[in-house]
Order: sequence, then C-alpha cells, then structure tokens
Amino acid sequence: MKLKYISYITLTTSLLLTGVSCSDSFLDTPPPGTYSDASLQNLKGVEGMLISTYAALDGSYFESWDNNYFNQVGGASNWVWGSIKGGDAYTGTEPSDGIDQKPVERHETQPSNGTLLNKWRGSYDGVAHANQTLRTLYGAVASGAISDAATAARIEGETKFLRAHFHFEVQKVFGVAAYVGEDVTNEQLNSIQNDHAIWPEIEADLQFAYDNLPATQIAAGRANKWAAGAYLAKVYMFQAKWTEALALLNAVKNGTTSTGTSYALEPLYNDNFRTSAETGNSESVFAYEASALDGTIANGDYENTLNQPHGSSTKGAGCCGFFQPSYSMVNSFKTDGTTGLPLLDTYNNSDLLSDEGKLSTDAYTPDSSTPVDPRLDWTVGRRGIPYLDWGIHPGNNWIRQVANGGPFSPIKNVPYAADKGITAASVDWGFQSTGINVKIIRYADILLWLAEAEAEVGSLTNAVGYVNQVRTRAANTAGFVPGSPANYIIGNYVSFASKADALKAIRFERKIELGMEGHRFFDLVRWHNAGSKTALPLNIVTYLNGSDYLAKELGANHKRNHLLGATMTLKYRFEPVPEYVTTQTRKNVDLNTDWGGTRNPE
Amino acid sequence: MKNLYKIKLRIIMVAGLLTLFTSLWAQERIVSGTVTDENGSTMPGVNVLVKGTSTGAATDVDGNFKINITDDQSTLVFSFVGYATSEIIVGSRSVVNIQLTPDVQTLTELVVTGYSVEKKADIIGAVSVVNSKELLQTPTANLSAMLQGRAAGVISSGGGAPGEAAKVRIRGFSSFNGSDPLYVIDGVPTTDANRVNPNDVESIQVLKDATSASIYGSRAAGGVIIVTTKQGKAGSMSINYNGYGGMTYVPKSYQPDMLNTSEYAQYLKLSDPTANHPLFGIQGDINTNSLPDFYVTSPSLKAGFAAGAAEVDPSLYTIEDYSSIYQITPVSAGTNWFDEVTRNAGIQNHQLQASGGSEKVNYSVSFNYFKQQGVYVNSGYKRYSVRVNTAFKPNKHIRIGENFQFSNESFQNATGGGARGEASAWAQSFRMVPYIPVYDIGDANGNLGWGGNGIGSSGNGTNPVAQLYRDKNDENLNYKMFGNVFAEVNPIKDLTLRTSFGVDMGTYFSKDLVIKTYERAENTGTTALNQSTSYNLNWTWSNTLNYSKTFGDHTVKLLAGVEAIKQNIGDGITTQNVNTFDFEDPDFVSLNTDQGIGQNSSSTKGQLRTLASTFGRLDYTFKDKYLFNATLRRDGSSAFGKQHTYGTFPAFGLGWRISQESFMQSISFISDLKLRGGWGQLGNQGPVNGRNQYTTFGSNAGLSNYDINRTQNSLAIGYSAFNASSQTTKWETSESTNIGFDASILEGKVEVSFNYFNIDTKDLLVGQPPPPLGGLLSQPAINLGKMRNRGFDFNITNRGKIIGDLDYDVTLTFTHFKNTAIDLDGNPATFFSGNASRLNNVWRTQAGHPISSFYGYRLDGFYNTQAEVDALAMDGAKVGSWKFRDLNGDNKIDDNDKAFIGSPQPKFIMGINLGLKYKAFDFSTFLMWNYGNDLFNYTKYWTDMRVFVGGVSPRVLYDGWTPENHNATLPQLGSGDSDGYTTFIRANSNDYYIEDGSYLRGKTFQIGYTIPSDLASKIGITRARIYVQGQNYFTITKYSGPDPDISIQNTNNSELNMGLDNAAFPNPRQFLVGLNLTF
Repeated sequence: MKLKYISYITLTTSLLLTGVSCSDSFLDTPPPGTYSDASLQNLKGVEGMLISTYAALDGSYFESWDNNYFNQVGGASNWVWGSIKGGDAYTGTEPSDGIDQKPVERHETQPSNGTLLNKWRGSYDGVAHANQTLRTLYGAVASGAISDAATAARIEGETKFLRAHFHFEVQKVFGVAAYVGEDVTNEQLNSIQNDHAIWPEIEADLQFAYDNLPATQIAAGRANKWAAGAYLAKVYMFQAKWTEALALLNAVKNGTTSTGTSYALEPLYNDNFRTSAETGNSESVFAYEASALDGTIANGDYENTLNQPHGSSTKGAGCCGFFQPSYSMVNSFKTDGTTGLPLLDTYNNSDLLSDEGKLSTDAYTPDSSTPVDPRLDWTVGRRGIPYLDWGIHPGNNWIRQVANGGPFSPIKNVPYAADKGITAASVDWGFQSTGINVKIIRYADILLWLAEAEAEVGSLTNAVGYVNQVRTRAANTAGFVPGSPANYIIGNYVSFASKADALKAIRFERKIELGMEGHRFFDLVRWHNAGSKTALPLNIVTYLNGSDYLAKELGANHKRNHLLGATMTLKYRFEPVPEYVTTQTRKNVDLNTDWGGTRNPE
Repeated sequence: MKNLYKIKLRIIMVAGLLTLFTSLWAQERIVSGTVTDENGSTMPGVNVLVKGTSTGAATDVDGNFKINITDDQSTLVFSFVGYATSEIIVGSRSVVNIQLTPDVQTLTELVVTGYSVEKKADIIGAVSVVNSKELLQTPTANLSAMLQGRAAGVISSGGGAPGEAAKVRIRGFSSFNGSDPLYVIDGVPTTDANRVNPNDVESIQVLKDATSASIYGSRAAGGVIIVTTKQGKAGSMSINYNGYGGMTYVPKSYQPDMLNTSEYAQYLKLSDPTANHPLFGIQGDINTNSLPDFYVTSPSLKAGFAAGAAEVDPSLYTIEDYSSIYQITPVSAGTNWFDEVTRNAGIQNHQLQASGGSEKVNYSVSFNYFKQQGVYVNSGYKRYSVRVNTAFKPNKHIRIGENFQFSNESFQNATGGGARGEASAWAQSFRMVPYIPVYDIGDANGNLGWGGNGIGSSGNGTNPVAQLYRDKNDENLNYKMFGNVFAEVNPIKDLTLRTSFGVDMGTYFSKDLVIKTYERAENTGTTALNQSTSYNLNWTWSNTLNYSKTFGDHTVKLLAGVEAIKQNIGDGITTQNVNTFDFEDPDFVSLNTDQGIGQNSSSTKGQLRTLASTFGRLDYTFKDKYLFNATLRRDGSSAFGKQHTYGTFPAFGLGWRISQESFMQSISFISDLKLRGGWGQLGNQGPVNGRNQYTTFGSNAGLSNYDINRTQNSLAIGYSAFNASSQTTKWETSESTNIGFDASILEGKVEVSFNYFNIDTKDLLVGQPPPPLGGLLSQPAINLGKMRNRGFDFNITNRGKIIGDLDYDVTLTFTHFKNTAIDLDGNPATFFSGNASRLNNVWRTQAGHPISSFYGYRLDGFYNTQAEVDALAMDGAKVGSWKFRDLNGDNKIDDNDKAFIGSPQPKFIMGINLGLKYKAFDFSTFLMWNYGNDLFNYTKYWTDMRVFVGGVSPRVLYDGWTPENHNATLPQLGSGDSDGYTTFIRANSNDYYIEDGSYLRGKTFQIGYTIPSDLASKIGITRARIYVQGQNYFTITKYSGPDPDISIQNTNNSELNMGLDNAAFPNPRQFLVGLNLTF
C-alpha cells in the first residue's frame, strides 16, 4: 500500500510540476496569421504599404453603422468641407439626416462635433500610413532588401507626395495643423505641437516628390513628377505665392499623366466624371482611384455613397439624397444670351426656373429659353433634363424632401445606368458604390491657377487665354447633354480690362468649372487670406452672408428653412480643432486664437 | 461540484461507519425503519448514528436502514445534507420510521467555493448561494437571464429576446471593458453563461469579494459564479421529467402612442402647409385635398387616388419586374405596426433526466429541448442539449469522472428577432408612417405585395413585417461542447489530489440572405448571400491538492494548485455574394448559383491567448470560533509583454463566530452570529487581446487595398499596420475590502447576511484612445486610471408558519453601490464619450462621475419672446424653440454649457421572493425593484424630434409650444420661421431624453399543486407536481418606453455606454403551465 501512495503522490506532483515548468514557453503566443514589420521590409512589403497609403485617400474607415463614425467626410472629395460649406450645395435629404453635417453647413460647429474628428482622423490616418511606409522603406534600404536607388526614390517620392496631401487637408480645413514626420514614435504622438505653420514641411515633401518622381509611372493611379509639381503649385497658390506658382505651373502645364499622355483638357467636359472615360484620360492629374464590385463596400467612392438621387423604386441611381446643389450654384450657370459669358454680378438676382413645389405628376415644362452654360447639366440634375443615361430627371420623385433639400440632384459622382454591374453597383442595404474617381487635381484646375497667377503677377492676355481654354472645351457642342431642351449659350472672354476684372472672372470660372468638386470654400478662404497680396481682396464673411449665398438662399421666398438663422462668422473660415484632439494631446494641439486657443490660424 | 463532494463525503462516511460497525459487532438488537423526505419520498443515503457511540448506518436505495442498538434508551441521529438533523429515542420499538424536514439553518450546507468545498458556517468571504429551484422559475434558455434579483450584490438586465444572455454584473462595474463574471461550470471556467443548460443546474454560488474569489486570480475581478450540474446519487435511481409550455407576448401597454393617419395628416398640414405631398393626389395639396383611398407607386406615377379612379384599376397592378412596378396600396386608417410585428408566441421546455448510482459509479443523463418563438413574427430560438455526468470509484482512493454537455442552438432571423437599434422591428414600427398598410392590394390571384413608402415623402423606414418575413430563413447555428474529465486520488487520509481537463469548444455558422426589395423609398437593389463560419477551442487543465486536518481545537485546510488555460478563437471564413441569382427563391440561392461577379471570400484571423497560474490557500479555524484564511494566486498571461507577464493576487479574511463565545450563550434568540472581514486583490486581463504586445500588419480589401491600376473594379493588394502594440500593459487590479456579518435568529427563522464593500480598481485596462495624430489602427489595451465601487448588499430570509399548515418563506435581497471614476489618465479634462447611433456625445465618462453618465444640455424652458432670443445666443434660436440652460452665464450656448445630466446606474436593486405553502399547494412570487437610475430614451429622437419622416408621437401635435401655450413639452410645430425644431436642438443631446428608469416588476408568480404521494404511487409515480406561472406579470414605472429593464444594457458593446433605449427588445410577458414528474 505504501508504494501505491508514493506512486500517486509522485505522479500527481510531477503533473503539477510539469504545469509550472513549461509555463514560460506556454505563454509565448505570437498572433497567428499576421505580418510583422520585419516580414514586410522588402520590396513587396513596402510597395504594399504604399498601396495602403493611397487607399487612405478616401478617408473612409468603415465602422459599424451604429457608432455614427461612418466616415463619409474624411477623404479627398471634400463634398462637405469644400462644396457645402462654400455654398455649392446643401446637405440635402431630410432635416436631420447627417445631423452633424448641418452645423458645418450653417457655420456653427462646436469642437465636440463628431464630423470634425472624421476629417481630422481620416487625414492623419493617411499621414500614419505614409510614415509607416517610409520607416519600412528605410529599413529595407538599410538592410539591402531594396537595393535599387531609383525604386527607393520613387517609393519615397510617392509616399511623401501623399503625406503632403494629407497634411494639406488638415491645414485647409482647420488652419492649424501639426506636422508628423516618419521619425515620430507612437509614444511621442500626443506631444507634437501645432505651434507653427506647416507650409514649409508640406512644400519640402512635395519638392522631394517633384525632384524624384518619374514623369511616367508604372500604374495610372500613381502620382508622377507632374502631379507633385501641380500639387506644390497648389500649395503656393494657397499662400498667395503667385510668382513661385506661376513658374512652376508653366513647367507643369507641359507635363504628362502618369501613363505618359500629355496633359490636355478632355474634349468632352463630362468625360471627367464617367468611368468609361477614365482610362487614358488626359486631364486627370491626380485622383483618388475608386473601384466598385471588388468585393468591398469601402472602395467605391465611399464618401459619395449617399450622395445620389433618392427614390430607387424608379430604377434611378437611387440612394439617400444627400448633397443637393444650391440655387446659387444653379444660378451661377446663367449666361448672357449674346456673349455667352456668366452674369458675374447679377446671376443671383433671380432664380432659374425650377420645379420646386411640384410633384412629378404635376405638369412642368423646363426652361428652354434662359441662356445657360452647358456645364450646368453636368453639374446639377434638374427636372426635365436627361440625367446621364437614367432618362429624364422626374423632379420630386427623385428628391427625398424638396422642402428641405431643394429640387436639384448631384450628378458628377453618380454612375451611369450602363455602368451598373461593371463599375458601379448598389450594395449592402442599397447605397451606391462606384468606380468614379475623385478628382483631386485635374488639368482644368491647373489652367485656372495659371490664369489666376498670370492675372496677379503676369500677363492678363495669358490669363484670358487660359480661361478661354477651359470655356472653349465647355462650348464643345458634342459635349452638351444630349437631348437637353435647355438653351446652352457659352462664349469666350475677349479680354480683361483690369487685374481685378480678370480675377473676378477667373474666380467665377473656378466656381462653375469645378462646381460640386469640393474646392469652393477653400478658394474663398485663400482669397480672403490673400488680403494684401491680391489685386482683388475678398471678404469671405461678406461674401457668404451676402447675396452670393445666404442672403439669397434666405431671401424673400425663404425656400431653405434649414439655413434660417445661419450666419457665417470669421472664425468659421477654419473649423475648430476637435475637442477630442485638444483633450487627448493636453492642448499640445490647441485651438486657434479665434476659438480661444493659442495658435495662429494660417 | 457541490454534489460530487456531497457524494464523496457521504461515501467516505458510509465506508468509515461500516468499518466501525463491523468492529463493534457485539451488541443487542436491530432496529430498522424507513426515512422519507418532506414529500414522503424515500431517502437513500441518510446517515443514521446511535448517539454517543460510533455505531452508524446509511439508508439503502429504498430509504431503509438497519442498525444495532444497545438498549431502549438509545437515540438515533439521522442526518442528511440539506436536512435538519433529527434525533429519536428508540424506546421499545423495533421499527423507527422518520420524515426529515429540510434544514432551514443552512450553516451546515456545503458550498463550493474555489477549487474546494466548505461549510457555510466556515465561510468568511462574501458568498451568495442562489436557490436553483427559484432560479428555474424564470423560463429562459440562458442562465444569466435567471440571475436577476436572486442574489444580493448581483445585478442583471435585459436578455428578453429568445435565447439571449442578460448582462450580469456583481457589485457594480470593476472594469471599463466589461466586467463579466467568470462562470465556473463543474470546475471549468468560461465567461459564457450560455454554456450550460439551466435545467441541469444543481447549485449556484456567487463569490463576490476577494476573500472568496481571489483563488481565481486574474479572471475573478468581475466576481465568480460557480455552477454545479446535477449528479447521480449513490444508491438511488430516478427519472425526472420537467416540462412547461405556454405563451409569451408584448403587452399593449408597452407600445408607444403614435399618431393615426388623420392625425398625421393634420400634423403634415401644420408642419408645412405649402408642401405638396404625393399621397394627397396628383396636385398633392395637403390643405385642400383629402386623404385618398389608395396610392400608386410606379416609376412614373406616385400619387394617391380616390377609389374608382382609373389609376387604381387592379388590372394595372404588377410587381413582376422590380424596375417597373405598378403598386396599388390601400391607405390605412392608421397601421399599428407594433401589433403587426408582434404575436402571441409559444414557448416550451422539456427536460428528461435519469440519474442514479451505486457506491462505485454514479451517473446523470439528461436531454433538453427548449423552443421559444420570438414575439416578433418569423423569429425564434431553439436548442437541444444533452448532458452526461458520470463518476467511477473503483476503490476508495480513486475517483474518475466526466461532465459533458453537447448543445445545438439555432436562431431564426439571425438574432432570434432580438435586434436593437434603428433597423430593428421595434424601431421600424415607430419609423413607419401610419397610412402605409402591411400589404398592397395584390394581383388578380390574390398574391399580396408588401406595403411600402416608395410613394415618396414617406420616410426611409422599412416595412418591418416584410423585413422579418424576408429574413425568416436567416439563421445562426451554434454547436457547442463543454465539460471536463477529472480524476481524484486520496493517497492518504485528509489529502485529495485532483486533476481536471476541461474543454469549451464551439462551431458557429451563420447565413444571411439579403433579398431585393421593391416597395421601399430606399430599395436594396441586389440580392446578396452572406455566409460565415468560425470555431473556438479553449481548454483548461487544473491540478489541485487539498489537505484538511483537525488537531484538537485547530482545523487546518490547505489548497495548492496549478492551472493552464489556452484560449483559441479560431479562424473564421466569410463568403459574400453581392449579385443577382437566376432564382431568387431562398432554396435556390447559394454561393454556387450566383452570377459570378462580386463574390468575395475573406477570413477573419483567430486569436490565441494562454494563461498559466499557480495558487494556494490556507484556511485555519480555532475552536470553530476564529476563522482565518489567506489566498495567493500568481497568473501569467501571454497577452502581456515580458516585463508584465505575471500578476500576483493576495487576499486574506478573518471571521469570528461570536455566537460560539460563552458570553453569547445567554442570548438565546441568536442562533448564530458571525462577523467577517476580508481584503484582497483580483486581477483582470479581460479586454487584452492576444496580440496586444505585438505590432501586426495585415491586408484588408476595404482598408488597405487600392485600385492603383485604374481598373475601376479590382484592387491591388496593400499592407498596413493592423494594430499598435504595448509592452507596458499590465494586469488591471481591483482591490476589494469586504466587511459583513451573518446571523441566524430564532433557530433559522430569520437569517441575515450583510456586506459592506469597497472595490478600487486601479491600472484600469482601456483600449488606448487613438492618438489624434496617429493612424486608424486597432489600439492596444493600456492601463489608465482608477475607479471605485462602494456599497452594501444584504439578504434577509424569514420563514415560519402563518397558521396551521400554512408555511411562508420570504427572502429579500438588496444591493446598493455607487460607482465613481476616480481618475482616467491623470488629466482631469480627459473623458470618453459615446454616441447614440445618430445623436453624438450622449455619454461621458470623466473623473469624478459615475462611468457611462449621460451628458448634454439642460432644457430651460422656451424662447417665449424675441427679447429672450436676443438675450441668449443659441444657434438658430427663435421664438417657440427650446432654450438650453446657460450654465456658465456667458449669454451664449456652446459646448461649455453641457453638463452631466443623468446616470443609468440604479441607486438600489431589490429582489423579494415570497413563498407560501399550504398542504399540497405552493405559491411563490418574485418581485424586482430597481430604483433611482436614469434612462436615455433615444427613441424620442425619432418620434418627438421629427428628424426623419416617420411615425410621430402625439406630443408633437398636441403638446408643442404655441403663442398661447408657453407651458408645453416640445417646441412649436410649424414651418419656416415658426418651426421651433432647430438644427441645434435636434443635433444635441439634452435632458429631454432623460427619464426616470425606476421600476417595480412582478417577475414571476407560480402556483403549484403536488399530487399526494399515496395517490401518485398508485400510478407508479414518486412525485408529481403541476403548476401555472406568469412572468413579468406587472410593471410599475414612470418610464415611457416599452421596458425600463435596460439600465445596465450596453450600446456600442461598451461598458461606458449603458442605459440607452435604442429600440430595446422588451421583456415579454409569459404565461405557462408546467409539470414535474419523478419516477
């Protein structure tokens, strides 16, 4: 018996000891099925990380529907920050749909508004992707895993180009950005300060890209030398560095796309907004390359996913009715019947005919006499006009709530019916996924900067030439909306009498050429900020509150109730740094002085 | 476990006594008899001892015993666990029959604590014993839902949907990331209460403080719930059938009031008299046109028409081709969508158990079938489970056994219909406008189409009946196995060595078919099939050594053990097809019959985490009066970096049974009084992912891949950081102090147990707030801040006779605690906020306040005059709109005027259980009183704030501000300048949504009748009882939503986002008839 006890005790004790002794290795459990930094320090790994940096351009990180950060305002399209805030469009849909975007539209955001954080984090996410790519690249170069210097320089150039873009987005919207380089560790992130203007860092990244990127790239979607140059010129424009901008733009205008096509305006205006014309497109300088039907819902221009006409039981493109063009936007396309020029001062004195207040079953004859710019119907969907290949826009049936969002539909980001199932699809609960790229810079933009820079510091003759290039393309009758009953009349400027006249025309041309493309508000801010450095100072507060926008929208007939009581004040030229940011960084990233903070807005 | 030990003790005692019996065989005569229980059933295994001697025996399978006595003065002592010990003087009798009564003094009750078993009298930690009989009065598939109000210190909420788990918290919230208690089922730990079929539960103990729970170390911070399943009893064999069936429904009173169609028309006119509305006909003028009889939805025609109009000729009707429908729908006078989506749903439960055993083997086998139809149509839950528990004892030194449960559960409609939030059936019932009916007129063959809002200006709600119907084939299927194999050895007396290997595994399958729609404002354009499957496999291997010895006045117990746990959440595979199928018939829709485009497969990566622990405990008792114990556990977790792998968690406790002191002997009404106190630390690694210390990279089509080649429909693969890591993350520790007493008064007539507790959690584990200048990758858990839960809980039981045969039994449990976030990260400005779906920043957790506090503006009446508008700047302010309170007095309303406006945490929770027994009849009822919390009624965002077109509350129409009525609830209903509902009001959280969440609820009543045993035995039944039962039979509350029982329910899966009514699933009312049979 004794022996038996001893054997029991020995057996059990050894079991216990086994448990103890192997615990160290037992507790070593690297996560299954993931990559480490080291495993990616090679060409494929670094190229893949660069791809993911591009992927951050959409600013969308799809989280669950329930937490409200379905980020559709964080990317490159700037449909809220540039277009809605600048008066191109209303938020649209119903009074409280996109509830956090309404304060942006009304210029009354508070730092706690979650939409702000979406833009902020969507942008810094891109910065973080870029920095990780650079760190891994440098590691791979140092270890010899990447030995080709040209390849390394190309990757570094593309990455820095993207990093500049992401920083620029923050700078544009918030006015006080913090620059984060690749040498900042995770632990240091919350101690970086936004204590100085980061233009020099942005310029340096773009300059590096301009100096190191090839003109022809291995893929259409990659940034090339000329894209970097164009972006650098844009950054100069934002600082009113007209001379530097003009010099650079003069080089860039003779550049090529990444696939080697010489820059030129596409013959047909709307070819900028349809997937079937994207291959070989000569006008796309840099774009977010959207893709649909790839098995995801995040890549199909997720930012614009809800910005579609409403009412899909009518087989329309069908979704949620956000982003409805404003009356002021529509009126801007009115032209002089003789000259075909825009009505720079009087465009908003009366409204172009609309079907507001009518049901689709009510009779309505679209206006076929008032002269309008043909770009109107490629920018705005309105009743009685063919809407891409979806048929005649029926008015009310495609509008979610006319009383709130007005009678117009967006169109530039809407797919063709023929593209459904090829480069567009209705996904998930029925929202739209499309392959239509978000144009960050297109050649028309470059031409209009050229015109503007020439007008400020160069030749008015050159300026008028650039503007007319853009207008000539728009006047191509082959590019008019087929079957439209509208009276399209467009003509060129003969000359500009003064710098101020030139700038007035050029700025208006930007509004109509680039309408609904997310640029307007930033243009207004830079013209406002240019103050002493421009021949045509503009006060953004007077402009937006006046007859160009709010006073018009809230005029006698009071159509836009959702704007009632809204006033733009100067501090809203930049959004407040989100509450989360100032709190988490303990004010290392602080608000600007307009908001009671310590930083000077740029 | 409890029963294993019971049985073990019994067997040891019997064996010992038999030995003695043999050695003392020399005496006079034999007495025999039968022992029965309170119901007259015979009791096997009862110990019979001749008082003052060591002569003893045990009853056999039929409850019979035989024992030798020396003389007529001999006294027989009958004892059985759970029954009062009885003494009988034999006298001249040769047959002594006795009926034992259940022991009301539970001091001798054996309680399973950590890895061992103790007498209740010796326990110095805070331990609640839950009566499993009472527990089973709650008819639900999930154990967690049964715990509500049953034990002091335990709070539980929700779980009203079929098969759904309730949220259980013990003594407040010890962690930011969900302090789920640890369930230890037959010795195997899990955090999923659903791992056990409640009908198999024999006993439940809740370990609430460090003294009792710290033996479970790192996983015990949320408390430990020890579950023991039913074991066979040596020497008996019985077959039990327990079953019930009944009906559940959502009472009408739960439904919110909504405007009917004619009221809604009036509302439309007031909200915008100039608007044209397609429902009102071709011209759509809502002022002059009357409500139509029908409305037509087609691509070119959307309008209402009077009956007889050419446009509503039924022959025009078609929904054949979804792109060119012509739908004719009758205008409803006011559809009550709540009535349409709910039903009287059946519920049934059948449990068949066979158990028995001998000295060498015991067994218990059970089969359970539970089926609950959802109260929402086309939803439900069913489960089959089988349990086999056996134990073998080939000799007196060794015992080997197993406890296993296999279960198969399926949820119809994916979640059994239990979805919350905007898309749920409940939310869609108030999101739909009243004039839309469930069905349209249908085609000539009588095939009805769904009524919908495709006419326009009718909102973006979806017909919830249609949705539930389309989802009726969606299912979640789970197969789970849970249990352990164990061996016990007693190499020498007083020493038990035990090894146990437990397995917790499951495979999961889900199928979700999204079907094209035609009737909605926003239609689903493509049919999609999503399928996914995954598995998990966790094992626990524990080895323990128990030693117990009494030397004179000293009793010492020692426990030492090691444990290894591996948690493996396996890879999952998801396949999605977003395209059309040739046949949209659910039977033909498969991944094999898609049209080839848009198919996408992806895998979810698993997670691995291991835990290795050593632990020990010493219990010391002096003279049965002075009790001491000390516990130490050291845990190592693979989730932490090398410097912080291990955490050590000590605890000790002291107890003093004052009633054993001589000076207390004169106080006769106190039968037992014990003071006890303890201190200890508990660890927590709950939210720490297995990859926390590793920076990983991955590829995700949606996030890292990109169409760099401008194909417009395909992606180049990208790599991106998936998660950031932390090497400095360490164990979260909660330090708990518990002081309490247990008293038994008047020989158990009154029993009181009281505990005061303070739990300070430090190094709180929190998902690191993403650095604002960093990327959007998963963040590691890090240690931040400190939190306190302080309070007391007690339970009082009073039993006795009211008169004659009328016995009563009342138990009251009471829990009070106050939770405060002491510090978050050293920065008092730091906060965590939470969003309610479409309304942001409704929660804030910040130092100095309870976690999950509601945050927002305070209402301060209305802007009654223009002068008031001019005096206080608020964006969009106008006469007739709400005014928010200017807290900082700067004459403008902005972020600085927001405040903490409520807390979802109740001030106390009380459970009252009342039992009455009269002869063969028994009655019991259980009431829950939850007092003093606020709820955030987010449903008002939809029904009252007019944010989207949808159903509207009568408050909007009848209780809005008007120039005449300034004493209103809501802003002015109007259009343009007279519309008081400004963007600012709608966009900001405020205390209009805050409501008192207190309630008193009749949770259960049960009336039972036990057939007299002589009658029963004639038909071959040992025992038969029938009962009727009601559940949630009344609720008294001021809360305006359907069900206030959501106080601690989470939103966004976050402990910091509690108490929001986001179209909660109401706990239904139930009525049942049940039958218990024992053969």
